[in-house]
Amino acid sequence: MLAFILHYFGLSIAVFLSACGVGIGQGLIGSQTADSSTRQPMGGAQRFTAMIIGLAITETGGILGLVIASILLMGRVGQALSLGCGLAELGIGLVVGVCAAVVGIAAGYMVSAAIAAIGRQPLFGSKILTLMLIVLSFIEAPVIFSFIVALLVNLRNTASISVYSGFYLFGSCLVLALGCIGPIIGQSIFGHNAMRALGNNTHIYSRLFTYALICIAVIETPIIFSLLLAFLFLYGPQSAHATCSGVVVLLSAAIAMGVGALGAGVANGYVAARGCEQIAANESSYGAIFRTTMISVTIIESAAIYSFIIALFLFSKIF
Amino acid sequence: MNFDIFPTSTQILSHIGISHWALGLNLSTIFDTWVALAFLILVVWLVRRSQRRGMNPVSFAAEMYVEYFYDMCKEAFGYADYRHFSFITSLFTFTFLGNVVGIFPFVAETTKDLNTAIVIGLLSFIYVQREKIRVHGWGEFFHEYIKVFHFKPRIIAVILSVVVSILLVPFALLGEFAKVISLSFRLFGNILGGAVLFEVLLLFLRKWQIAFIMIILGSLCGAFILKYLCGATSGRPALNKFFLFLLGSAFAVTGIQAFFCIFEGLIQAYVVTTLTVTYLAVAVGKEEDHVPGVS
Repeated sequence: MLAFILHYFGLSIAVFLSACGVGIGQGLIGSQTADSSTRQPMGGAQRFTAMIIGLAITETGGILGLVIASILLMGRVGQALSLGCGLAELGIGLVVGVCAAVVGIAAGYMVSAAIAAIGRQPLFGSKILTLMLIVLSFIEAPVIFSFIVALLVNLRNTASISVYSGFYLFGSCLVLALGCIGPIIGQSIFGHNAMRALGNNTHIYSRLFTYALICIAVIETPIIFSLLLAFLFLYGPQSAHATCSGVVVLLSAAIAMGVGALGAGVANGYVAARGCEQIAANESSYGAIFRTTMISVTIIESAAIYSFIIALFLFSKIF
Repeated sequence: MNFDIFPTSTQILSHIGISHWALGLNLSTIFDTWVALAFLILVVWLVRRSQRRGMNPVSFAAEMYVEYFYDMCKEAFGYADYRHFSFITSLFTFTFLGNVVGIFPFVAETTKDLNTAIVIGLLSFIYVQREKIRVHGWGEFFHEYIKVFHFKPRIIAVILSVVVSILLVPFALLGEFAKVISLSFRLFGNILGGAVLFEVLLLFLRKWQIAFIMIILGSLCGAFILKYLCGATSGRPALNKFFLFLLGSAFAVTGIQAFFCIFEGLIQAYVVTTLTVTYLAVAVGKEEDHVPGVS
């Protein structure tokens, strides 16, 4: 009975969380487009392109949530599910739902700033569009990661796996779902402020481009760590003979990495965003701002690296 | 798929009866490093050869590469310093080659091994400390760890400050080594993550449905590239389709790998280099030359 509750609950989580996030994000984009076009009627073509691309890429999360929900729905019709199978399906729903929800809101927030910037600088629209696409592709990456992890978990999941193996699969989904939240929020704050800075001062484009690539790659590092741990839980040395104490250690490793990535991601986003504003305000001191931002961003990020090391040690404790 | 984060090491002296964990060598990583260095030597040989023939694209690209780091050092240190410039260029080149050497067949990234990553972190750390001692001298170097108090009974103040600083030495050392740990684990985690992600994609490609979709997508991309490169395809449609198929499958795999390998490798090597430059600028600079906001 509990297995069926978990099964249907995971299925609904995958759909409703992703639909919620994508809806909010697309609402932000649409409302900002209306605002921007009443404020500055010029540059309509590029604004329209930015809106269409933003809506389409934001939609990806919703579509992947739908695909995962239908895979779960069609997959094991009429089979008696074990508790482990239900847990794994809850994990699949959680990882796709959470990632799609956060990414939807984040992408909408970032694209709305880009559309406002095009309204502010209508003759500079194509470059704003280029930077928006690059930042958007980085923001969108965790959805693809979560989809890959969900598919792999679904491949290993059978109707009659034990509770402990189910907890292993659940843990590998949990670490990615928790670890994605903070860095995506940070990336969206950074992208929002980068677009606003570019709207205020278009001369910084070439410098902001390098700055944005470096900063966004550094902000994304905790997601890569979480993904690495998720694969380690899935294909690690001893997921075959799982025990109760191993499950406790594994879940604690997952929570250590996931929650440790949260604060570091958001804080990095704030620091990098302030750096963008300062570059727009005072272009000549770009070198000093860049070095200061790099130092603070990497020192903040070492918090996530410490949680990654502790999670690795915890994982090696299992066997 | 099965992967180990700590790869197995080979005991080199086991045939004469000596076996110790410190003598274990990871032979595959050493081989990969040698492949990267051989590639580097080949590139250097080509560049030297092309430089003798006057100005051409190869030597121009090499000069751009060197000049970029020269400007970076000049901006960070405020004056032309060839000493730091050579170390920083070498650090970037070695890290970048280690990150991207996985694009060669049968070779893995060297920084995927934790040992290489920690060595790169230690190299940067030791160089920064050495330069600090060279510029400021041993006295100022130790003065950072031993702060002498100033109050009237002088002897008691000195004894007290020595005791307090000995108590605080572990924390100071921890703070210094945290830099090494974060530098090396960032490199290690990012490169290993990219490599594992690529292996998972290969795992998917072995499933024929997904491989089919990828090859169709790749053939479309390949067809567009071919159209732009050659204008139009000519003659023998069957042969063309076969070539498109090959090109598409190659594009599908190498496109993903190129993104995850080269782009991520470039960014991470750049991050390592920039951090080393910044630590160096803070360590070498005088009190008033500090970067604003960084003490």
